[in-house]
Amino acid sequence: MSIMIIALSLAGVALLGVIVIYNTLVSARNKVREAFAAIDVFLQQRFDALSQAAEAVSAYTDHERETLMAVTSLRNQAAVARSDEDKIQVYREMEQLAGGLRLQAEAYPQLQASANYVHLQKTINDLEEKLSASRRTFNARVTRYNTLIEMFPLNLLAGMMNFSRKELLEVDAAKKQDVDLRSILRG
Amino acid sequence: MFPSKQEVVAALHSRLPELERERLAYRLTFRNGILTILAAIVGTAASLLTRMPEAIAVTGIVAVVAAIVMIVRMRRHYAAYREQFKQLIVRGAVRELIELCRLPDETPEYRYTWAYHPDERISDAHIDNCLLFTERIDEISGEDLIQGRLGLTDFELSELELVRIERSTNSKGHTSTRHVTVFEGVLFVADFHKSFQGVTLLLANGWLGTSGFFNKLSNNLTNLFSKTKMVNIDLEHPEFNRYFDTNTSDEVEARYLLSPNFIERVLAFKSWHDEKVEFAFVGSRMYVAISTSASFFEPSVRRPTRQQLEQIYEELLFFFSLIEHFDLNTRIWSKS
Repeated sequence: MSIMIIALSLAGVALLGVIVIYNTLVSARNKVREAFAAIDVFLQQRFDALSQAAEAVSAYTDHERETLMAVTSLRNQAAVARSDEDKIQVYREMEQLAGGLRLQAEAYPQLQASANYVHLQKTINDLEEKLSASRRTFNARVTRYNTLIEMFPLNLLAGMMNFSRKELLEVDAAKKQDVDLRSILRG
Repeated sequence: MFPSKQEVVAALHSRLPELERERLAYRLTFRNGILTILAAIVGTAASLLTRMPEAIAVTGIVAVVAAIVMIVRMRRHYAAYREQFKQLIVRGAVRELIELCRLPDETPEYRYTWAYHPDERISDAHIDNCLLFTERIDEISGEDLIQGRLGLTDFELSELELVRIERSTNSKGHTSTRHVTVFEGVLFVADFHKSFQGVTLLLANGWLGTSGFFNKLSNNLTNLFSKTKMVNIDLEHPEFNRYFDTNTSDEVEARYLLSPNFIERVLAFKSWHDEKVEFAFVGSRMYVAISTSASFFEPSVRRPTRQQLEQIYEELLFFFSLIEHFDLNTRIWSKS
């Protein structure tokens, strides 16, 4: 009888352990998803702001309509992207586009001086900082999640429960450099 | 840029001799006071040798009265000198530093305004709002309130002492009172250049600079009873995490405020100031609580007035430079 009780107790403890591990991993994975969802929200907002900026630039000359079309195309791609990898690819392309748009605007001092464009540029800067912050949050959560699924004894169950490693969002070397932010607005 | 020390000294040069005379006069009063008190002590001791009760009584009374009169005189004279010092030197240095300041990339919206109130302190609202002082506070005192605007940034600072009074009764029924200093130093408040909704606190990591295990534990307990749920996060900079325990109501917002560039600036500031420094980002403001037992903006009668002015210049520059150091005039983000 006593052996039975001990065996049942051990099984109970083991089951409890599995439940705790599973819940810990699910919680960590959901936090990663939540962080990625935040990136998505800021990406959408930045698409809106970039579209407006591209429209403002293209109003000055027809040559710059390509940028507006590129933003629209990327936006469509983002809308149909299902996997995280596809979204990350769109995100990277948009980084380049934002830099290009800023360079184009530099050719039109009148545009840069307009209150609307300055406001728009501030909004874009703000969203870029928020994107950067949400990307750092995502990476922090992915690091925690990856650490959890590699730690003993969690790693024994993580594989069986289909918890796989997640990739970090890399930051371009150019983005890591300290830029003179004042000059962006003041030319 | 702020004006140089030489420029500020030159601007106040004509007022220095007046204060220097007052300083020397006070030193004379102090010396006379000390000599009188010493004479009173010697006189009383000599009268004791006579063993004549009347002589001892008369000498004792005269000595006590003389000592009291001299102490009162010294204190009054010091108060008058201190008042004059604050008006001429501190107020003058604040005025010259701010009015002669010209910041880089100035725009028409830049303003340079100031106000100095030697006997006032930062408001209770700021002390409550910054959430850095969570312990019970029974007494608040402070002085040297400086308010103003440098460029686009409104700021306030003052010396502050927050005290908790603890009363305990022993088994014999005797009650004893103990004053515990919760904070002693300077609280600096400035309008932050980014807009935010939540709360982010950078608390000094405690014992031996190890990870804030007790802070984390305390946060978890506080969260149980608090409306604002705070989480403890580690940022990407190990040195920063060693010095600060970051608690926030919004993890993404905390990283938005604490960009890698800003983290470097916080660390650079920490390296200037050896003692405890804590930051709070609340209600679109940045609060910096700089702990120190040193007293700022006070006269030192031993040093010539010009040297004291130079010291006050250094102290004010340290605080005013925080705005440029933390780049608070850069407004390239939309701020609602």
